[in-house]
Amino acid sequence: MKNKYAKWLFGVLAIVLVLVTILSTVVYIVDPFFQFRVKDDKYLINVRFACGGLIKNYDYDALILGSSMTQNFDMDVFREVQGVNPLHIGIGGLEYEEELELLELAYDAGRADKYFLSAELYMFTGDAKKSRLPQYLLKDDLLSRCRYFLNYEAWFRFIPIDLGLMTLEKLGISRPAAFDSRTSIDDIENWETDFEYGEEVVISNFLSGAYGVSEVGTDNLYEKTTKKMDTYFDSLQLDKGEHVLFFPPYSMLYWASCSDELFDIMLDSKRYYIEKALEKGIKVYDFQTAEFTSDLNNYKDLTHYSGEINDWMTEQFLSDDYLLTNENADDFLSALRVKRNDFLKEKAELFSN
Amino acid sequence: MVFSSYIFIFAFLPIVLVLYYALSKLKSPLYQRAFLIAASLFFYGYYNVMYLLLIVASIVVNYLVCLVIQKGNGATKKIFLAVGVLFNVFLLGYFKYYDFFFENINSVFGTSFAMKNLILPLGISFFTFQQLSFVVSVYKKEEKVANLWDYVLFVTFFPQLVAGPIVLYSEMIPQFMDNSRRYFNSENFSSGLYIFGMGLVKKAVIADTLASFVNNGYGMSNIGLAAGWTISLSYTLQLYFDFSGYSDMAVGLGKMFNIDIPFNFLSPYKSKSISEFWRRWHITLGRALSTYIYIPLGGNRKGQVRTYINLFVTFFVSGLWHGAAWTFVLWGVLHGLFSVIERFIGEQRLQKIPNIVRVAVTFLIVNALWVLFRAESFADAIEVYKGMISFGNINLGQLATVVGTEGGVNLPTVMDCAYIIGLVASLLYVVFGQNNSAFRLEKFLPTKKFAIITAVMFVVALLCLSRESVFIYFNF
Repeated sequence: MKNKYAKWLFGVLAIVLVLVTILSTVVYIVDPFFQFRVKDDKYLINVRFACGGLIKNYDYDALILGSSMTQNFDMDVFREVQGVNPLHIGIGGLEYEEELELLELAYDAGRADKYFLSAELYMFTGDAKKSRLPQYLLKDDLLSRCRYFLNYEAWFRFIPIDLGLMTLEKLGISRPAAFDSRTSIDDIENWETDFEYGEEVVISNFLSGAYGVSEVGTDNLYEKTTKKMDTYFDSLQLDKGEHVLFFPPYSMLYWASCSDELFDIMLDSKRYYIEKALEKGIKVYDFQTAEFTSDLNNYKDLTHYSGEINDWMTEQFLSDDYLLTNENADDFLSALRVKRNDFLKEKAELFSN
Repeated sequence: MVFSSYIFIFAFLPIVLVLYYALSKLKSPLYQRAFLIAASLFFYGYYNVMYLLLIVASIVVNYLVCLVIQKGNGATKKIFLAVGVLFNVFLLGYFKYYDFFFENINSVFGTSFAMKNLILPLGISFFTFQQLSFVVSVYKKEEKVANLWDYVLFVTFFPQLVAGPIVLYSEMIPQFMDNSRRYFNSENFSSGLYIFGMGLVKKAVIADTLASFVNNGYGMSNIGLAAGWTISLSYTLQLYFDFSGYSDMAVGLGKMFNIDIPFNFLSPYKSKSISEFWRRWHITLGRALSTYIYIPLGGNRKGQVRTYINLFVTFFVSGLWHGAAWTFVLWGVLHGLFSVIERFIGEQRLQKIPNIVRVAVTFLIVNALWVLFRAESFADAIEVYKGMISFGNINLGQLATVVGTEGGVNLPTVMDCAYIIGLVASLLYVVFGQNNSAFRLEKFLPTKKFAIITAVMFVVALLCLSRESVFIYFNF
């Protein structure tokens, strides 16, 4: 009798091993998160799951990394204007810790010789955050591989959809249009056509409280922010390629919504960031005083602009108009203050309460 | 440490099992017991070593109190019973109710006592209640204190330490003392593995999926009918699969060590009345509340009105035990109220109502009251209640918000609706139409069918472990 139970236990173990082997093999073959090979226009892509695999295995020589401010960059325009083979990783609300993790991965991969990084002060103002990126997709050790082969998101979410899409393709049935942009590596997380733009929408969103400036405590904010910036600049491996930093052109409504105290600290922090970057010989572009930033018709909310502005920035990377130098940096910072003050006067009714 | 984690399943449990049974080769059983205590304390202190000091202090004080009560007589016994009760009430009160108490004092009297924002030590409600019940049992001469190490093992035995079942000294110690249980038993181990796997699926596969819907849902406003019911049913199902899953795992782990731990859930949502629900839901808590509160208050022996009051008080305490918030108190009080109403109507009259109607009504009441249990404030609960009765606003599209981007995928709205409705409906079928774990364990046989079921359960649960989460009842 006892022997029967012992046999049963071995039987369970054997079945578990067989199932684990089958599951692992399927994940290896399908590879939904591009850990072994990259397949464009085939699989449903979520940038948080795909970014590790793409950085490690995609064929690129320029990396564009940033928050939602970078998500509408058009890779064809980038190829044409910049003459590079780009990979675009734009993660909504990208955190400081996440950017450093991805940069380190990119440095290790050694594929890029040019890095376009969005410079966003919010990343430096907050306390330490836990990375939202699945760590097992950033590493290649055995345990991480096991976690990839046997992970929930792959098996319960992506593989069924990916296999469904592959079956449709095999049957010659065109997949739903909604999946087109969601399977394209160039278009990862591109939201350009998902929203309405215009002054009316922006103001309505602002007045309803749907979008606003996140509350940030100003106590020791400058010290905390600049300390994080020091670590950030120390982490950049400048020998791995050319680094281009750029301040994305938020609308003037964003700056106007900041309290005077917060704005002053932000400006001082920005000055510190620019000084650090220039000290290290890094190119920094500041688009935050561009003329269109006062025209809310270019935006969907306080900060997010239409794709045309991303195209415009791509072109500006070739000109010196917005390139900061030790000589002009203060002029740019002063211009931002002036534009903000003008906007506050012009739209005083928005801030009457 | 949580049962449904890689570290527990692939490291802690196998190592502890191998070493425990290796120690059975030694003649004295003391090594095995000492090892099990050490492993249990490691398990408990894994996330926060400071917890260990608390549990050790609680064990030492309770043990000494029990010794004095057992050896003392008359006034000494009474004094030390009071000391034991007060110590446990103070311990729980300090960590669990301090902020709640002073928050209310501040709002009533306009005082400004500072809040401590204490983090509730893991399982404190369970091990404190278990020890409190033991102190009372020793006073009543229903239990006898053995040696310190047996007592420590009774409190700390890791399968039931953090979230119950709340076991009795008399049902655990004789098993630890039984020499025949020291050795590896493949029959017990097999059935333990089977039931552990079932609990793991309930927790890691089902409850954690529902948790995502519930968390999204309780952050919503202007909830429509479809979302209101989906959110409330999701939580009703989540709570059951989470807690009964944990309890199944505890039973399974016990069996792996040849220890029988009582089942805590017996198809509670099939109950025909609230009273029956409490005989099927968190059974060992119900047993403890009945033994140490309801019966000492007089139970049903002192007339109808006193019975109603006693029921009411017992459920009030149950509400407070579950959490330091008025939402929990109201939840407990309403369960008490429905129990009183049932008692008032009488079982004979209730039996005239078709069973299917009784089960449906009981389930709807329980489901509605779980909304209070989950809500962080009355305003949160009202949002969900408003959704559940907004018959003019079905708003199926809102279900996409309830599903959210669970697992990193943002599906089209139609697929989200089909997914969540299909899932909740299937799980309702499981709780109403399928047999419970206790029944399934009885039917367990070492056949190919059970081997395949067990293996598949493990592998599916293994896939879901990559989104580790804690058990809901760890918070109580």
